[in-house]
Amino acid sequence: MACGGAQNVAIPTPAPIIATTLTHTPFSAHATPCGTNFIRHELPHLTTGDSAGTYVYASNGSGLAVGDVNGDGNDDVIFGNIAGTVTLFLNDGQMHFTPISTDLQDVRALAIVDTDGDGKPEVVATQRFRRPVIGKFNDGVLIFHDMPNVFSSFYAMNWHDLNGDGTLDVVFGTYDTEQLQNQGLIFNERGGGGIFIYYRDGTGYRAERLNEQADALAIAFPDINHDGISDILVGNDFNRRDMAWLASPTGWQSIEPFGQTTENTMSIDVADVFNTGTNTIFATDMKPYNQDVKTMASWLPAMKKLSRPLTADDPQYPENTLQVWQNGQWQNQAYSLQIDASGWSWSGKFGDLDNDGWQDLYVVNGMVAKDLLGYLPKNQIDEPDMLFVNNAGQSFTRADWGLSDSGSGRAMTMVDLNHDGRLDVVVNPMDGHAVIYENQRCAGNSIELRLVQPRTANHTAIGATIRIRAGTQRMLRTVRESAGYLSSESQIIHFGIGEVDAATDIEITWPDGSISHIDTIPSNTLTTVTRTE
Amino acid sequence: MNGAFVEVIIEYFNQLFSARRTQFATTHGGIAPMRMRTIFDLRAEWILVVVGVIVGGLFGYLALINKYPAWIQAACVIAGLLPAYSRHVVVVYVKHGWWSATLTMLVAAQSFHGVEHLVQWVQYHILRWPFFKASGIISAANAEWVHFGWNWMVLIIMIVLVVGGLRNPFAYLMIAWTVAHTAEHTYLMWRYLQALQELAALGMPEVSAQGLPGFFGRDGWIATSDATRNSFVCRLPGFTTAVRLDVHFWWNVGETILLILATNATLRQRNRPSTN
Repeated sequence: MACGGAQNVAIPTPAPIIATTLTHTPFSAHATPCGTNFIRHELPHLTTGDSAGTYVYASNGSGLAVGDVNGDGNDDVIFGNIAGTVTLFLNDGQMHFTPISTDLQDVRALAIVDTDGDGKPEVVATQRFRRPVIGKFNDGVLIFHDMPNVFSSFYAMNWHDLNGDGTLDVVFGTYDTEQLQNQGLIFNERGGGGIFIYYRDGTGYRAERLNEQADALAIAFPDINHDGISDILVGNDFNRRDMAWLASPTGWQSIEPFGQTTENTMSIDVADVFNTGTNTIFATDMKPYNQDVKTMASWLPAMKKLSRPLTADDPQYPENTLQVWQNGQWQNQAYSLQIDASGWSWSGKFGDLDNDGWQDLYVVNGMVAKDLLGYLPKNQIDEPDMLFVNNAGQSFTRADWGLSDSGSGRAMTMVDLNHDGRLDVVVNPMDGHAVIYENQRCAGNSIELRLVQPRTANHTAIGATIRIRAGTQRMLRTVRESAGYLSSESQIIHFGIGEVDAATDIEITWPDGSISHIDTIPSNTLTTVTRTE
Repeated sequence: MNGAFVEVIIEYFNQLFSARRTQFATTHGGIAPMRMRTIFDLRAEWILVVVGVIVGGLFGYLALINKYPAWIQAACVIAGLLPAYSRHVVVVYVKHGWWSATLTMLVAAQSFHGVEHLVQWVQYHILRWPFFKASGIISAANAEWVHFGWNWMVLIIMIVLVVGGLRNPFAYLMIAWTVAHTAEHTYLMWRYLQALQELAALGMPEVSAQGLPGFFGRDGWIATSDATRNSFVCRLPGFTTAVRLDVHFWWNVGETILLILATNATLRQRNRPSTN
C-alpha cells in the first residue's frame, strides 16, 4: 500500500503560458533509396544466457537504451547482456556505429537519462542479483558505480518527475520469482521485493515503497483517471495481477482500473493509436498468432506449466490488451482489433513506421529456454516478429516490411538513428546478435521535436505531452524515458503526418503543467523547442 | 436378466435395423401412440426408483468416505436410477414400439446431457470455478472423444427417428443444428488427434490437448481465419467471443429445446383424435 504523503505527488496548478524558442533543422537526405522494406543490420553484440544453454529467467534477456551519451546530437544505442557484457554503440548519425565495450553483466533494464540534472545523460542499469548502477561516458569509456541510496536488486524501471520538484525520480520493480529461485526464502527474510519510488533528494534518493511483492516486467506512467496527472502502472509476470496507483492529494492510491488485463504482462506502451488526442494502453502477453495444430502443440507443454486456469471473474487473460478510454472507463479492444495475439511477445510498441499519420504496432517475440522448451528443436519457440499496420484507426493489417526476423526478440525500440525523418527499429534479441532495422519507406512526411528545459534538472522534459494537428488529424505524444519491455525511448519525438506540409496548432504541456503554443512547424524538420522561462 | 428381457432387446434391435417407413406406419397404426409425458413418467417404476436411489446413494456415500472423486459419487447415484429407467424404456417399447422407445431414450439422454452443460455453466459463471474444474457432474466424461462420440450418436439416432416419422419443422431444424454441432466436434476431434500426434512427436505424449478452440467462440476458426476476419460474422454476438464452455452450452441448449419441441409436435399430432 502507498504510505507516502501529499508532498510526494505532483498536483498541477493553473497552467501558465510559457514562451519558447525554436530551431529547425531539415532532415538529412535519404541515405538509402526509397523502398518498401526495412534493411536489417546486425551489430557485433550478442546477448547470451549461459554457455551451457539458456534457462528460464536468464531467457528473459536484457534491455536496450537509446540516447545521446556523447552530446554529438545523435542517439546512441546501448545493449544489455546476461552472460556477456554490455556494449555501447556510438552513432555517427549515418548508420555507422562504433562499439564501446564495458565490463557490466547480468543486466535487465537500461536507461540513458540525465539523473542528476547536469545536462549530460547517464546510463542506468538494473541487475539481476545486484543493486542498480549508474555510468558516465567520459573520454571514450563508460564506467559504472553503484546508484546512491539504492540497495535492492530490481528488474524493471522507469523515470519520471513524480513529485513535481523538477528532478527525475525513478520507479523500480522487483522480479520476485527469480529472486526466490536464486536466494530461496531468505529473499523474504531480507525484506522481499515490490514496487519502490526513489525520489531524487539532493545527490541521493529517498525511497517510498508502494507494495511488497512484484514480478514487474514493465512500468509506465499513463494518466489512468484522466485528471491531468501521471499515475503509475506496473505490469507483472506469472499471474500476478498488474498494479496501478493513482496520484492523489493523500498520496499514491492503489486501484484496479481495468476490467480485463493481460495475465503475464511482458511490456506496456502508452500511445494515441486512434488520433483522438487520448492515449491508449497496450500490454503484451503470450498467445500464438497462428492457432494451427503444429503451433498449438509446440506451445501446450510450456503453457500448461506457466498458465493458471482462469475463473469467469478473473480479469487476467493470456493475450495482449489494448485499453481504450471510453465512456469514462477503460475497455480492452485488442481482441476485436485482432492485435490480441502476437506470439510469445516481449516488447510491443506503437510508432508511425510509414509516416502515414497513424501509429503502427510492432511486437518482437520468441522464447528460448532449455528447461521450459527442451522438447523443441534448439529449445525454442521461433516465430516471426509481428507488425500490425494501422489502417486509419479502423483496423490493423499484418505486414512484414522486412521486420519479421530479429531472432528471439526481447527489448525493442523505435528511433530515428540517421535523421531522415523515419523511425528505425532497434532490437536486442536473446541468443542472437543485436539488430538495427533501417527504415527505407518514404511514404509520407514527418516532423520531430526535441524539448529542452534548460533551467530545470529535467532537461529533456520527460513527462511533457505534445499535441499537434496534421490536416484533419489530432495527434498526441508523450516524452518518456522508457516504454515496452526493458526498452528506453528516444527523447526526440516523432510524428508521421502523411502528405501534409506542416503541423499546426502545436500545444506542449511541460512536466510542471505549464503550456506553450506553436502555430506551425514545417514538415521534414527536427525542431528543438527550448523553454525560455 | 431373464430370457424375456433379452428377447425384447433382440427384437428391438431387429426392428431398429430393419426399419422401413412402412413398418413405422404400421407400428404407428397398430400400437397406441406414446404421450409426451410418458418419456419421463417413472411412476410405474417407483419401487425400482426408490431402491435405485437407496443403493446408488449408498455406493455414492461409500465413494465419498473413501475419498473417490466427486464425479464417481455422482455416477453411483445416477447408475442407481438406470435399472428403473431401462425397465421404463422396455415398457415403452412393448407398449408403443421401437420408434417410441428410441425417442424416449434420446430425449432422456439429451436432456441429461443438456443438464451436464447447464451444471458446467453454473459452475463457471455462478460458482466462479476455473475452466478445468467446471466439468459438470460426470467430469471425467468431459473429454474430446466423449463429446465427439456423443454428437455422432445423437445425429445418427435423429436421422433414424426422422426417417421413422419425426417430421415437423422443429425436427428438421434439429437435424440441421445437430449436423452443425457434430461438424464442430468432428473438427475439434480432428485437431485434438493431430495435436496429440504432434505432442507425441515432440516426446510429450502425456500432455493433453483437450480444450482447443473449434469453429465458434473465442479464438475459434471464425475469429482467426483470414476468410472471416473483419467480416460481419465476427460481429455477431458470441460468434467469436464466447468461451468454449459457453459455446457448447448454447449448442446443447438449442439441441435439447429443439428435440423436445420436435417430439412434442409429432406426439401431439399422433395423439390427435381422428376427424373422420
